[in-house]
Formats: sequence, C-alpha cells, structure tokens
Amino acid sequence: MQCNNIQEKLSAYIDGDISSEERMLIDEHLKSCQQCNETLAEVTKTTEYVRNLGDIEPPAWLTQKIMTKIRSEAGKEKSIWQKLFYPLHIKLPVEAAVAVLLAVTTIYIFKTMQPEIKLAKAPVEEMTPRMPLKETKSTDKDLMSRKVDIARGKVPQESQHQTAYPETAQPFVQKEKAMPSGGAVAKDESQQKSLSPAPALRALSEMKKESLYLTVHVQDIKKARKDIVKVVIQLDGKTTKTESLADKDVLTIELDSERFDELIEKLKIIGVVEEKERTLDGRKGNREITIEIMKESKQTQ
Amino acid sequence: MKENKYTADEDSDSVSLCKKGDIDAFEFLVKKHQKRMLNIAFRMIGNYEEACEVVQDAFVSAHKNIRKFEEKARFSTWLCTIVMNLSKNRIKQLRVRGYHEGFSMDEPVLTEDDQMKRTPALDEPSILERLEKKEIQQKVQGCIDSLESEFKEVLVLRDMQGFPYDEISGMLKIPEGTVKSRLFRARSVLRECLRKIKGAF
Repeated sequence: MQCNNIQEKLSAYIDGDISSEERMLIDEHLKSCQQCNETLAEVTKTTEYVRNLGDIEPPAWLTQKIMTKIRSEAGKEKSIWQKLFYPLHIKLPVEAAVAVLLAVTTIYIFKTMQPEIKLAKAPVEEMTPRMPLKETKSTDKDLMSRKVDIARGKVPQESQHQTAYPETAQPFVQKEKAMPSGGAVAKDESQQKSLSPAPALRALSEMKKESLYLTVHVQDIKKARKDIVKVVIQLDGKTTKTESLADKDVLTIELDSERFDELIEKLKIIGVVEEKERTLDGRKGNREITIEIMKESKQTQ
Repeated sequence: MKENKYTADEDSDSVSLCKKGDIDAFEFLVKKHQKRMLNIAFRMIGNYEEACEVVQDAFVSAHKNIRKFEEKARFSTWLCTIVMNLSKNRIKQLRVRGYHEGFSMDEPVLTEDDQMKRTPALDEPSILERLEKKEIQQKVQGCIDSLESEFKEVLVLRDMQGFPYDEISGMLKIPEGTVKSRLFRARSVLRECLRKIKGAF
C-alpha cells in the first residue's frame, strides 16, 4: 500500500470509521513507515487540539436577552392575530372614507354635467313656454337665464296642462316648432334694448301661461304692424317684441286682459282676425298677446 | 467532547409544551442548550459577540418555527442546524463587509476568557506554560477560522460537538461519504496550518 493511500485513510483510521481489513493493512504499514507514523501523529494531535479547544461560557445576560426578544415577538404575533380577528378596526374607517368619496364624486360629476343637460333640454323646454310668453324681452344674459329657469319650472305644469287640454295645447306647440326661432331671437335682441329688465320681470311673473294668440290677415303687413302698435298704445298696452319674418310679422304685446276684446275689435278693422289660441284664467292684469300679421293672399293660398 | 447517542429526545416534553405556547418551557430549553449553541457559533464565526447574536437569532427563529418542527430529529440537532445556517450566513455577511478577512498569524483571535486572563498572566511566569497552551489554542482557532465554511462545519460538528456522521449528514443535507471526505480535507488543511505554528507538533 502506498503512503498516499495510507495517509488518506488516517483520518478515518483515528475515528475508527474503517473496515477491519483496512485497519490491519494500515497497522502493518505503520510498523515500517516513519513518514506515515509522523503523519498519523500530526493528524491525531490536530484532532486533539480541536477537541481540546474547550468550551466558552455564554454571557450571563444571554438567556434573558433571548427571552425578551421571544416575548416581544410573541406580543407582535398577538397583535397580528388581533388585526385578523377584528378586521372592522381597519375596514370600517376605510369603508366610510370610500363611501364619502363616492358620494362627493357623484355629486361633483352630476354638477359638472348639469349645465350640459340644461343646454340639451333648453331648446325643447324653452319652446313650449315661449309660445305663450312669446319671446319676452331678454336684454341681458342674466334675464335670459332667469327666463330659462322659469321655463324649466313650468315644464311639469305645462305637461299637466297638455294632458288636461290636449286639443288646445297641441296646436301651438306644433306651430312653434314650425317657426324658425333661431333667427328671430337674434333679431329681436337688438330691437329690445330700450326696454328695461324690471317690467319684463314683472310681466314674466304676472303672465305665466295665460295668453292669447292671434293671427291677423292683412293686405299690407308693414302698415298693419304700425296700426296695431298704435292700437296697443291706445289700449294702454305695450309692444314688447317685433319680429319680421319672410312671410309675416310677429308682434308680442302686453295688454290688460280686460281689454282683450277691445283689441280684437280694433284688429278686425285692420284685417281678418283669427284667434288661434286662447288660454286665459280670467284674472285681471297684464297678459301677453302674440299677433301674427300675415298677407291676406297667403291665407287664401 | 459530548456524547450523542441515538436515544429518544429528552426535550420532547418541553418541545410539546412550547408548541402549546408555553414560553417558560422554551426558557428551560434556552438555558439548557445556549452554551452548546454558542460554542458551535463561536467556533464557526470566531467572534464572541457575533456568536452571541447568532445564538439569539437562532433561538428566536426556533421559537417562531417550533410548530413546524416535526421531531424527526432531536430538538438539539434541529437547533444546531439553525445555528449552523445562521452562522454561515453571518460569515458571508462579515466577508462582504470586509470585517472577516481571513486568519492572520500575527493577530491572534481574542476570546472573552483570553481578554480577562491575559494581563495577570503576563505578570506571573508560573503560568507561562498555561499561557503557551492558550496561545496555541488561539492559533488553532485562527486556523479553524481560515477554513472554508463547508470544511469548518464538519470539523465543528464532528470533532468538537461529536455528532455522529449520519446526523451531520442530515443536518447539512449532504451524503455521509461527503461528510467523511470533507472531514479528511478539513483535518489535512488544519494540520498544514498548525505545522506553521511553533511548538504545535
């Protein structure tokens, strides 16, 4: 057996972790080999050194320090369990906050969207009340918006009215839709500048939905318009709006309801009067009257 | 050298109490095993303070995971595995920090008892022999420190703690043959290292 092989096994040899055959072979070799004996001595001594290093003593505080750590860890663990067991402690405020946030967001979105809804609805809603009101003076934007508000407020009433009197409500709505109102609005604004917003407001509040809608068929529209304006002045009323359209002129006047019949009588002198719409509550006070002045020939056509 | 015979685990009662949440039972186990665990950690790391830290961490970890301990091995063996792993991790950390830059023959590693006894020893020639022995021990520790972890751990477990091969194999999760060959390598390297020390052989 070679020395190298022997030396490789010396570690196992001193541990006794070797077969009896191998042990015998090594023992035999060691009797004659000085070098291997020295190696064996060194290996044995090395192992002895390691084994005899001796124990070191732990510091006195070690146990206490370990136990303090463990107890605080156990405390932490408990609090984690508590959190798991009482999820409401965390969840409830979170849920409340989310609910509030949701509510605020909803209101905000609703508010930011509202003007758009108003705009979308405005033309339809405006038309219905405008018919009886017939474009009351709208000199400034503020007034305009008030008017819209009033108009909006009136919508339910209007619809009620329509269900109650479908045969009366229906025609003027159709009529209004047929009118090119866009151009008319632009025109009258310049004409109405002289009028103060105060009476307009009063008129608005007074007039409500009661109104009179007349059509006068005449030979000369311009002359008839001048005559009608004079008549209105005679009757202590006033012309609030004048519209000139392609085939007709439209006057909006304010007049005491008691003098309606007088007006109609005077108009009959000027031309052929056709009462298209009359929704009156019979109460006294100023009412709005819309007078359409049309060419007589048109009527016949 | 401690004897580790394969007998029923004497700690099994305490362990089952610990599993039920008995902290006092765990304290008993700490008191019983801390010294051995500290010695293992100290021989692995070669630094007393670091070894104390590792032992603390090991016991805290053991307590946290006691319910996962299946009692296939003895509690002490299981605990030893934890100490071993934490020690190896600590050695790596210290190497990264450049704290643990191999063994220097000129600067003997100081142990706590060395620090306490060194000064009086210098004044008393009567204990010169003891001092020489102490110095050799320091150098042996220094040589051990210079070993790679994989060799050091088998040396610590086998030659210092006297664990049987099969237990070391289980602890380190390496075959028994590997344990033996590593032990041989460890002893050879250590022997080479000790040859440089005057009066070692």
